[in-house]
Amino acid sequence: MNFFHLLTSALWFLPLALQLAIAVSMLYRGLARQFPFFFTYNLTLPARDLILASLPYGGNLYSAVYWWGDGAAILLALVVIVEVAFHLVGRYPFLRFLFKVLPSIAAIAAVAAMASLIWTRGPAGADIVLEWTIYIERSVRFLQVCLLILMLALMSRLGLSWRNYPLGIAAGFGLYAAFDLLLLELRAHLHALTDNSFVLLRSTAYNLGVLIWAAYFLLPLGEGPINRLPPNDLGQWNDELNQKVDKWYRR
Amino acid sequence: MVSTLTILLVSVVSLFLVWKVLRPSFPQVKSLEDWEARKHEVDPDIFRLLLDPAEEQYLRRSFSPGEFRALQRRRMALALHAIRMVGDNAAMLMKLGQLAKLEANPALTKEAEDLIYGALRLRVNLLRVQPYLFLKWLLPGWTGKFPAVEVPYEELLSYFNRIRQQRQLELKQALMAS
Repeated sequence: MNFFHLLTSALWFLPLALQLAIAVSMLYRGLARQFPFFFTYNLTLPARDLILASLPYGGNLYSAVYWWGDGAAILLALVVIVEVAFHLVGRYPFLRFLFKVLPSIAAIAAVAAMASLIWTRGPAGADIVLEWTIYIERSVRFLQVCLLILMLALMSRLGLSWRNYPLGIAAGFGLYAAFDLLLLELRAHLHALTDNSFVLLRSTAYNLGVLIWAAYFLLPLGEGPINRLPPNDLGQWNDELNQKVDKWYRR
Repeated sequence: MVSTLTILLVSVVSLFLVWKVLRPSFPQVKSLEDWEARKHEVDPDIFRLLLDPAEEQYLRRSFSPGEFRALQRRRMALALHAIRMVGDNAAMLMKLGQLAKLEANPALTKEAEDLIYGALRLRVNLLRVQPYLFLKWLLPGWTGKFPAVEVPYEELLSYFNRIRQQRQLELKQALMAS
């Protein structure tokens, strides 16, 4: 067994094991109900990989399961972003404006992705079908990354960073999708990557995303609870700022 | 070429944001002692004075336009600094709220949820106040208004009260059951 094969096997096995562990942890922590689509995502991808492992490599069936599975995973990932937004808005209704902004950003990103797809010179490699698939995947990833940018920017500004599951989910997808988009561009448009390095780097990007989810869903909290809360002037500041907002924003 | 550059830009922005949200950006508070040591003392009265329109009118009348602009910029810079510190305080309180929720105490959990809710609402308000103050810093004489895009405050308040009442009812039922 050569080093490349060993590395690809490790990169294949690690997320499979971690995602199943994340699914179990979500059930244990009662999070499967809160994030049903993310839970499904963590079951669907390992299931697809296990099916692929049982099929002869390179056959038509293998190819169909791989690419249809990939398409389903990307669509599921888009639904997870909406799920994360919905989870935030459900808990904090004053974030309802997010659902006004999200479709607009999605529409702009979709138009940009479609334009990029139409204006591009098209596939130039030997395998036209594969290259078109990569082009389309790149467009959907573009849309996904644009939505994630909005989510991450908002969460970062709101200070939702500590042990926040929606943030962990968005960060994992953000890292993976951004790297994947870069790799798809390098492979499909610039032809700067060989097939082997493309497969290896893509797998590494996915592993990094899964490691972020694992850190959020599997690691213990590591900090002890506190038994009382300090007095604070949040209410006074909120009143003060609400007055300013009422005065400065035209209704 | 344009699409390649756009994709590179979008990817880099996304990676930067992932790095930004994963690094520990706020002062790390793990206990009430940490909070006492790291909290910023910011007086709302001083903030109110910095943004008082009457005070602004007085300064406009008392100083030359150049002096007024310089003075007004300093006041806006101070106001921006104040709300940045208030935002840090809110972030630390949110973390304390999360830590309090780890203690299996229903009354404390409710108090912590209220605290997190209030802190988050404060940070949303800060997001809306900051651009206005920045514009006032850029154009010291400006007195215009921004278009509102948010849900009316009264609507939110009534929603908040409904949730509060529901939680109090749940808490009462839990206490009665135990």
